[in-house]
Amino acid sequence: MKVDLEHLEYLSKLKLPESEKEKFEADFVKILDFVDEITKLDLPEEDKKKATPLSELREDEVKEGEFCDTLSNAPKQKDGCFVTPLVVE
Amino acid sequence: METRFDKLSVRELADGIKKQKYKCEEVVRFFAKRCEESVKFNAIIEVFDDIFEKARLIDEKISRGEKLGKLAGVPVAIKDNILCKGKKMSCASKFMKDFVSPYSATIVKKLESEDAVIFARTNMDEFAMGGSTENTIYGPCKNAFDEKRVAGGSSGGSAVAVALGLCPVAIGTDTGGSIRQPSSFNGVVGIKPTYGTVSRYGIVAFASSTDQAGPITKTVEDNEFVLSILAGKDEHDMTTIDNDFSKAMVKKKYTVGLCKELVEKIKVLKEYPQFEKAVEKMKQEGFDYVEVSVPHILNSLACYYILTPAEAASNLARFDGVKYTSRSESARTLEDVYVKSRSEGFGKEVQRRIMLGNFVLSSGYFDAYYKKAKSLQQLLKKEFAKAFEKCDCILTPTTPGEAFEIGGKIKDPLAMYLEDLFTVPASIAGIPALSVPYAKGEHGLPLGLQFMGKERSEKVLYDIAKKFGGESYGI
Amino acid sequence: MEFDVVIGLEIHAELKTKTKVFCSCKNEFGAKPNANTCPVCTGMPGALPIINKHAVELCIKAGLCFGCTISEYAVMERKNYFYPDLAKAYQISQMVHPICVGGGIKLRSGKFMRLNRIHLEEDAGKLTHISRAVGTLVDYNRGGTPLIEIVTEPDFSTAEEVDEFLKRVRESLVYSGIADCKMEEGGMRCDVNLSLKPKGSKALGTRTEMKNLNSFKSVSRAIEYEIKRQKEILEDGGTIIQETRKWDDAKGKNLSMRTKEQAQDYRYFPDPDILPIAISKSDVAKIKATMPTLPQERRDRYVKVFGLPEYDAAILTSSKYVSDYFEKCTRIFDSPKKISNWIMVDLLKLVKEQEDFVFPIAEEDLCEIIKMVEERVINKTVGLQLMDAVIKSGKKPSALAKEMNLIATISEEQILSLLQKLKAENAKVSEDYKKQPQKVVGFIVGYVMKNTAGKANAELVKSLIEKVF
Repeated sequence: MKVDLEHLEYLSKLKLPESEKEKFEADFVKILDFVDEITKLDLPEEDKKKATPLSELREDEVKEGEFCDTLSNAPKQKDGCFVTPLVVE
Repeated sequence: METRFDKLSVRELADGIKKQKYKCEEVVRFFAKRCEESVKFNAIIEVFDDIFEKARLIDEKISRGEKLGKLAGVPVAIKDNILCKGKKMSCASKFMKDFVSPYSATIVKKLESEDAVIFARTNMDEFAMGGSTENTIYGPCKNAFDEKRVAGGSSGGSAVAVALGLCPVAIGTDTGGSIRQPSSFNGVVGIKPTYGTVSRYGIVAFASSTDQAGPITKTVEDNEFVLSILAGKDEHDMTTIDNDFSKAMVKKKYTVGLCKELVEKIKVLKEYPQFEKAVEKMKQEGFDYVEVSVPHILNSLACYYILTPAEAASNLARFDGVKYTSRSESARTLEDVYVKSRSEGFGKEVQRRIMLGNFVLSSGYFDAYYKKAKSLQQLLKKEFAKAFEKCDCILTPTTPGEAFEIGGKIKDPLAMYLEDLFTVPASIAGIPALSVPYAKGEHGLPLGLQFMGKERSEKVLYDIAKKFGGESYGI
Repeated sequence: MEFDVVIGLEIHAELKTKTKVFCSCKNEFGAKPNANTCPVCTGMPGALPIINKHAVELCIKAGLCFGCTISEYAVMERKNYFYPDLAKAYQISQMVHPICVGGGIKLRSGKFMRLNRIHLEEDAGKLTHISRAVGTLVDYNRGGTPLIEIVTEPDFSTAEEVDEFLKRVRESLVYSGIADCKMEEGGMRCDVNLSLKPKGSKALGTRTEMKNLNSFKSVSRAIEYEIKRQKEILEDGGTIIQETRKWDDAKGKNLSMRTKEQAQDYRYFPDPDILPIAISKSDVAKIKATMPTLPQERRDRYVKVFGLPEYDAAILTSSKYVSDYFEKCTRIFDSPKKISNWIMVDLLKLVKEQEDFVFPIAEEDLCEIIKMVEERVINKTVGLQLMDAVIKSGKKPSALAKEMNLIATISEEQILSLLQKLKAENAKVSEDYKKQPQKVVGFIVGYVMKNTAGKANAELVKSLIEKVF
């Protein structure tokens, strides 16, 4: 099995140190080879799961009690906002 | 001589406080002292600094004659992935080491409303990924019976804390065995309840569709008592169910199932003689035996290592250096904030699972892996349901063996994953599974016996475990 | 070379709910940054989404507006990608089992524009880009507010068709109380997928997706521009790149948004935190019962049953309020044409340029005045004076008319005698009337009015003139 590590890093927003890539890939392939048994099984398609009736969903009512200080752990904040480096669109 | 509060049952402890046999403050002081004496085990990350204040409040309430809850003054330790407002919570990760919970988990509120003292947070594998409590920034948690061996994981700290008598109850979380395996390794009782029994609100998600919290205790009675408090439908968690298991019917005589697909795997274990003896003992005590089949049970592990990384990859994407995790100091651009913060913040195992999850979800692999695993999960549920038409529980060892040595498997992720062979099926099927200590292995370390039951059959599992007896492993 | 234009639309509309789609925070525009946020909509660890029933109901209602099939089984899925406005790094949306499937709108030309689906999803937060030194500010107030996405089939070939379609979508959503669709506030957004293919060819060309279209006008302009751009490239033998292009309304052109180095892969999968939703036939019936008659149906009725001109029907249905007002009047006083005239000529000018207006006079009072005029109790001029007085005083027209002494109290005999007097005194009037009656009627009416302090009923006077002269 060949793995496009670069693409996985991109999707995961992770960057492995160069020195660890080889071992990582080897372990990764070993795990994939292990789970690969599943691809060979002949299985029925998944049925629809148990669903919640529409009538039981949450009512559209404001609940003030559930607010909390959502900025309290922000690594950087300004004027009540979270801050990131300037996003270039 | 001071009272050995660690020798009391949870109910006795609360009753003693309520009846003013002793003060909550004494109880808290006793356990805090034990924590101090056991620092080397790395089970406890932090004993919360407001416990004496909380204890005094409880003592005052009692002296005023106020009615207190079922857990009056009982110190409860929580795994480091459970939010308690105003307290630190880190998931044993560098990424979250300074995080202070801005709200409380539903189970924390439930415990507090029964007047428990939220006592300490326990060590764990980072983001609950691992089976040894070695993947942690606080240092490996050591087995209560042998400091050279692992605690098991990911709720290793919780299991060791209870085993060492550092607290009467600790809450763990279990996604594929993270309560049961460390309970087994440390001679304590742990349950993974039916999926949806305990609210996940305020517990850091690893894999949403198999995560369940549950109590780790010294005895089956304590375990049942605490789970009855944690259980219940929660308006903050759509996946919770009404599982009032205490009202379930118990029987005089039970039928125990042995899963034929697992028997081959069990027979080759070093500790097979112990398991065989346990089966014999149960037969003598009047349990009926039947062979059952769960045809795809051996595929559970592969299913698990596809589904849970997939959900984890998505669940852990929110840890991005923007809102609450630490941010890489060298981050200059938005991409840096993401990539550097996450690469520096997450440990190796977490990164591996995120990548694995994104692999099975990615275009071109989704149908072959993720979709297939979902179909298998549904099939397994049906196969288990069918097996439980013939028996009240399925019996297995909780783990393939005793606690292994620290450092023994950490370098080989697949070997570590194979440790979950017996615990993962119940997680995938969403059924309850209880681990109780029953014997000792070749190195004198405890072994756990696992009882799996059909959905909402916790009461039956507890009843079977009580009838079985097992052995007690007080230290 | 001749080309066929192929256009498909993705329309987002913000739903009118009190709370967000997955938490109980307020869904409101313009609050202080992050004032309406909680653990759920800021993606805190441990937080779980709890779906808002009303948001699902409004999505179903939207489906009913456009003849969609309502699914009995709907699933929320996660669309995974990193962006600072997306707190959880995934958007909860729908993929395989959307709430509404199919449906469409028939344009004036008779062409039927098919919908692919309407699904429910959450909006993202707001980013404010300050400067390199300060950075970008993130406000999650809008994060987690409910949206519907209406996805069409690629059935459009002109900007005009798109414009008509969008206006029909908007009026239906607004009428049904589903969304306000204020395009300038971002309450309704439209992305345009467009491609060209050689005339008659079956195979589709490469498409581009255009974003940032903030008004109906910019949608039309952007389509015209993109058709021209693609045509020029193709005619020069070039190829179209599949990409997202951002419309710049000020410059009147679009620009490629930086193409990402790697292809997007959203890794959709069912959200394990949210159970699938079961929608029963009776749920749908209940929602259907709350649906108002949609504007197109109203217009058709106004023209066919009431005999109003298309133009008038269009103006009367320009808002549900005006249309409901009109219809209530017709139930009180069965004279739709007269009522339509009063509303179009006399009432709408009172509220000109206002948004969310309310007519300053109740339907019953307006009808009473129209009735008085029609029954010639008062003339139109007096009727307008009376309306003005009713608006100012809030009193009932009948009482006020008496109080102000507006009702014509001049009897037929009195008018007749005045006319006889005029005929006797002024022979020229009689002569002129015989030659060209219309030229002197005005003069005669004026004479009567002058001698009755304007209290004679002009219509009555006119009919009596015929008798006398």
